[in-house]
Amino acid sequence: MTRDRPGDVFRQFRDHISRLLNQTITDAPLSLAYRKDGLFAQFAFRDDSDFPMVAPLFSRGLFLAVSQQLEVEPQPDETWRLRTMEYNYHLLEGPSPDSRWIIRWEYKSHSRQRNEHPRHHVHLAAVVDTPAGRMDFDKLHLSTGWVTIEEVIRFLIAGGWSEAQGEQLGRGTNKERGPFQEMDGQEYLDASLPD
Amino acid sequence: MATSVDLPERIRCTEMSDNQLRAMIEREAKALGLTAEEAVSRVRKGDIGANYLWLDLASLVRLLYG
Repeated sequence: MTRDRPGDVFRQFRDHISRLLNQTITDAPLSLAYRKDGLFAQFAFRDDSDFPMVAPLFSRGLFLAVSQQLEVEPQPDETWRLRTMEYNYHLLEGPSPDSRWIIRWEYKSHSRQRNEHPRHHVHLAAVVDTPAGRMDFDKLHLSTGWVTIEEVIRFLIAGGWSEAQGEQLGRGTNKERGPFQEMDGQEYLDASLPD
Repeated sequence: MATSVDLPERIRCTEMSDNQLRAMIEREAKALGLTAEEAVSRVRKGDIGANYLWLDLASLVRLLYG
């Protein structure tokens, strides 16, 4: 990404994610926080008093918590490279931090924490009995690929877990690019590649 | 429902001062029943909960202290 200051790079990425979320599955505000000229930033849903919150999904009674930690690295050509150092997408039954969670997609860069488990993984609120014993997907780190918020939005809409704003999906017209078409672009995905 | 028309009102970007970050950490720690010092110590040890409040607090600690 080419912007003069790290804050501009963070804002550009956050604006993209916020637009996708607000045009599809929730109208909750996504807030970006960073220090002046700092190389780190984070965004999450926050209420009017800047306290972290979960986003109520349209119509279906479920809630989504989203947080990402971002970092920019200066490049030799005086641009900045944006990296997602950590992401957490949690699907919950209620708005409280103590609410029962259903799915947790998580990633933490190796530069942040080295673990034996896959750094890209998902936790599921499910236990499966097998001939070899119980598989507790609550605690297991089930390996995934790099999961973008775009893919979480697709999952929630396609599975019927959130109603989408249909007129916003951009189906059938090239005049107004809807969020799904924007999701298919690679610009932002490439800009937030993991390390 | 949000539309692209009202989107700018929903966009929030905050360039945080160190004092603002400390205040946010203190408030979130209090919500978890901890002092700010206790919460920062637990974040540094990696001894945090998996809920979104803990995750937010941990990211604020990283923003402030690196």
